[in-house]
Amino acid sequence: MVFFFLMSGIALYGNKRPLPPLRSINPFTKLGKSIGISVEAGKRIHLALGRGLITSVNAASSYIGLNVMQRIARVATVSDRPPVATSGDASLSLLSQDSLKSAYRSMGVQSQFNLSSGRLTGVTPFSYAVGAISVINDEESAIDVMLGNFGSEVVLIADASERNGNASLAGSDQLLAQAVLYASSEDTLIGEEMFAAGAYLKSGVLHRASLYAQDTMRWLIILGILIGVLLKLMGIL
Amino acid sequence: MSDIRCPMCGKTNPEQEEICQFCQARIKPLLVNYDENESDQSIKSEDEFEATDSGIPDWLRNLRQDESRELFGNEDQGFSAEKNSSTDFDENQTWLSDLRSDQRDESDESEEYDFSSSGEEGNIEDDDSFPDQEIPEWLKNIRSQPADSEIDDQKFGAETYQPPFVESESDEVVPNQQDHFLPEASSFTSISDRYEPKQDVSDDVDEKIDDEYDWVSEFVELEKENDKQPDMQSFPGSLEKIEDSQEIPDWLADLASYNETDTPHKEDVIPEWLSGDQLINEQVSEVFYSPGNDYQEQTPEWSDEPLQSPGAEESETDEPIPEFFQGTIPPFTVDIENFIGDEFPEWLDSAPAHAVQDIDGSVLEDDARIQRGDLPDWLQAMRPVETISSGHSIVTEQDNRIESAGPLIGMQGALPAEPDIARAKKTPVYSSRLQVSEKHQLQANLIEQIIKSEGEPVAMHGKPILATQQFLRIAIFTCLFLALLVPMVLGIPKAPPNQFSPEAFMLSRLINQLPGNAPVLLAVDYSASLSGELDAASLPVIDQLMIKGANLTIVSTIPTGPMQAERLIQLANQVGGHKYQMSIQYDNLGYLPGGVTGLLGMAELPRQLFPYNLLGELAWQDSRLSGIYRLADFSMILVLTDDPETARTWIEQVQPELGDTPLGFVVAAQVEPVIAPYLADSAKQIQGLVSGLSGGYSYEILMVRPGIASNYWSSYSVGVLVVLILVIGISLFNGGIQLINQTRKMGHKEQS
Amino acid sequence: MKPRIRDPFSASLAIASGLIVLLGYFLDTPLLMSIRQIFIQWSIILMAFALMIGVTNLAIVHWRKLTLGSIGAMYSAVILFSLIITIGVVGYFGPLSSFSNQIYSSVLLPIESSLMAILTVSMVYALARLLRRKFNLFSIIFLATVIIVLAGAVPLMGIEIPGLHGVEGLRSMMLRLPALAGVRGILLGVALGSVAAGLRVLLSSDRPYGG
Repeated sequence: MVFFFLMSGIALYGNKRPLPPLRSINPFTKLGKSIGISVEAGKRIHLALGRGLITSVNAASSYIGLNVMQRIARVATVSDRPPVATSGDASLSLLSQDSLKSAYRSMGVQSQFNLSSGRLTGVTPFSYAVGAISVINDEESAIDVMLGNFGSEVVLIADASERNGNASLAGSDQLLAQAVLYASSEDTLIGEEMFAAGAYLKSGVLHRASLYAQDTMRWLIILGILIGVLLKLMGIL
Repeated sequence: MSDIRCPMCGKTNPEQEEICQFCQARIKPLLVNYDENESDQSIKSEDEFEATDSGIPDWLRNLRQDESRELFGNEDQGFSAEKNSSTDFDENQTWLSDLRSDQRDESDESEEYDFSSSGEEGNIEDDDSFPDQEIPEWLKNIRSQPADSEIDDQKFGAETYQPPFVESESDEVVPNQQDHFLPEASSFTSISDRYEPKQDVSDDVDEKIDDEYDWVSEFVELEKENDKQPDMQSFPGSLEKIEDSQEIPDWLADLASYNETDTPHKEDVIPEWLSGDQLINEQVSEVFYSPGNDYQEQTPEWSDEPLQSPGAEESETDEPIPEFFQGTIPPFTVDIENFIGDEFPEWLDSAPAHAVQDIDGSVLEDDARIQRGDLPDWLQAMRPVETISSGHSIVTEQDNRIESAGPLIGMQGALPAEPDIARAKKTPVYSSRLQVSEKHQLQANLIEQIIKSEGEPVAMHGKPILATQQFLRIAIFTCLFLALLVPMVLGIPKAPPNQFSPEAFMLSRLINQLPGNAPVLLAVDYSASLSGELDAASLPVIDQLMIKGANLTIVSTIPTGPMQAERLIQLANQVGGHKYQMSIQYDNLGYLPGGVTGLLGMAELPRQLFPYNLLGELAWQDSRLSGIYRLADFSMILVLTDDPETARTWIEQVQPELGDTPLGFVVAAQVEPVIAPYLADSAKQIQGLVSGLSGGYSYEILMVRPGIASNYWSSYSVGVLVVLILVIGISLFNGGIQLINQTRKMGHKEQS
Repeated sequence: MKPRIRDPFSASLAIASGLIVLLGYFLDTPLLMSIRQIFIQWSIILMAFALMIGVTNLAIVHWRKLTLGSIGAMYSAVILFSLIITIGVVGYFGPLSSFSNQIYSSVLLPIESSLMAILTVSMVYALARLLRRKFNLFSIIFLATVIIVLAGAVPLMGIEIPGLHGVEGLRSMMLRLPALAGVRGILLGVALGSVAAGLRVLLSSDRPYGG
């Protein structure tokens, strides 16, 4: 509830007055440039949404991936090769198709939408990774955006992207994926930086408000932990 | 009818117009027809004057016409007042100087005639500076005239007379310096009375000579007396026209032979009446004393003196006005009756002859020089000098510098030019080659190379068979493969047993405490990719459960889980010698979709979610599962997973519903850091943990039943060692290269 | 853009469903519990059908690649053939038959295991080139941590390095303190981000359902 009120209040404040600026995150800065280069070169943008179930706790990272995919699709509709979203979960693939369709509709080019733009490449992690690698190798992608719930299999996708000379941006909510991505990917989003993607891509004032609410809640949690430690040391708890 | 040009604005006007239509300036000067017998003087325009012209010799008339034409301009000449005045002055001075030269002796030509001095003395005849010449009678008659003239100076002074270039409304008269130097006919008012037109005038000359122009006849008589033929070559152009049309009088021809030997100097030529105004003197000197200027030779001495007010009877130098000039009409009015007659006036003859120098400095001969005339004192006195009589010469010492080079050569008072500009030099020839610096040249060459390279085909370098990256990958694979294969095949080296694992011991103790035929829920949530590790880690645990005779109920939240579970049971049967069968010792309920939601549902409603097993039989009617309605009814729950999120989901979502039912995990090594906190004494959310191959090997040691983990242990140990060596070695190598590169970059930066 | 009729309906349905399940966690009332259970069952059924739809979509994509002769059409043919065979065998003989086990044990398992082996090589290669790609302090710390944890996991050919191995060794201490603390911090941040993402869905700011 506290989070809800914080987010709503900041969003209302942001509608009237400008919110404080965000710190620079290099991967997001390079993402915009890479997308533009990819569109101009007539190459495809590949979005790997991971294998997180929308009914699980990993659904939040999947929603972030879907949001970023929508933002990118609106920009890349003018490209000769439309963007492709791969996922390792069936429900996530359905949502990706629906999101792409809405992005095309918002740009007025719904006729250009193809169901194969959002596809299920495998039901297991490694089969999903192999299917994503085939998209990177065979469909001339220029940039690979990996945002979602990934495991260690994301290394294969990042490695294939690097061997093809593509630009890559990767982020996962799993610690294992973050660890391996730090060593293998060009740009990695560590921790909860992935959840700030919506705010940095200007998806809306509520995204930015939620980011400020997260920071506020983080400080409140830190304060609570410190107070708990003090109470524990004092023997109260 | 030809148009005439206004001397002020330069625009053309009809010939009959006297005032300019554009600037309202007078186009034609006012000509006063002065007759000493007349009481009033009438100022007439040129046309009127010409209309009443009578008794004027043709040559004089033509001369005047030429002068007026040059003064007032015609359509062809593009006339300007100053030019006209200067030209007019040139012409007048030319013929006047010629006239003077005819009656002057050569011996006294070097002497400068000081008109003022002659004026002071009042009698030219008494002036010693003049050569001993016979004074014409007409000149004598002029001098004998009474000083008090009936001429109203106010009427004919500067106040009434307005030069052509001055607007009629303006009372201020800006005297044109050159106009004052014009040998107007009024200068010779009294003289003209003495002259009569020459009788041998050509037929073209108007024969109507009025009685008012008796001076013309006197002039003719004077000419006869002198009986000198003028030098026609020294005559100005206007006279040349006369020469072409009619016979030149003798007196005029005699005047033309007059030579001036002395070069007029500034201080010598400028009369006193003119020198009073320094400014005017300077301007005059600029105009008249510049080398190469025709004015130099033509400037009369009398014109160099400063102007004085016309009303002043005496000049500033207290020079009395000669008698023959007193009572005469003011300047700028031409009285044709008083114009020069046949005989050249004595005062003109007595003017000292100055050597005239040519542009190159050579002394001109008498026949080549241009005579210079001086304003008489009376004329000087009548000059309106208020506006210019500042007492200072306008000519400064700096202005006395005579230009010796350039287009203004011979002029005085010109702005000094830079030596480089004034010096005549050859036009510099500039190189047509573009001046570029070396840096620009390099850049231009670079751009040119780039453009050239655009059209050139680029040689395609063949890809190496084995790239560096591929070589490194193959090398790593080879090392790992050998490290894993050799110990497994050869049995060497033999790795020592693993250390004791307390977590594995906890799980082993938990299973030992289970009763016989206890219902145990087995969740197989790992994929086939990590089956090698988890099979080795979970087999000893499954073996112990089988030894205990536990009734296993298998579920899975991943699609391949049920198949993986079947393979695990078969493997456990094979390794442990058991004979567990479907629907007898264990039940495989299959795949549970929904992830966390499915687990929540299974935790609360397991019977509704799994009504059948994989064989299609009713799962909960068997006696082994008849007492199971919730997950908490199971004796133990064992989760096999390779995903930390799945482990967390089980712990966070299912464990609160279990109550006292113990929860154990067999996980991959990568999951251990995530769920290890849940094993802590403070949390106690899980009661046992087997992590990876090392945990399985420890469990086998505890059970004293060697299995797959024992077989993999040596390869695993050697493989870990080889990985360590590879990582450390290659990292050190790459780190060293990077360090060297950065050091070099820093060195280059410091150098630059 | 013209608003669609189903946009507000889908949004309101999504918001209502999420609120009901959320309230069911906090309010232990029989009505909310029963509704929550119904929603859970429906979601499980939908997930099962979503899996079938996903597999069908996969088949359609590869069929299109095969018919159009795109790059990798041969692999698409193998995929389709395998799919058909597996569905046929498992559907006919059952998932517990020996044939099904053979397909799983002989095809799927080796493939997955091989991919895992490739992953191992790729990870070692990435780790070895880490300093080449990112030469900074964090990379050096990362590499040192990996080496310490890896070396302390097993005795090196029977040699236990004092201070590194054992319960009180460096590895155990690193796992218990800095690693665990970092994990908890990151998990907290991820949890906050997940909450924010969920609230955005409830507030209909994020519409992954294409509304």
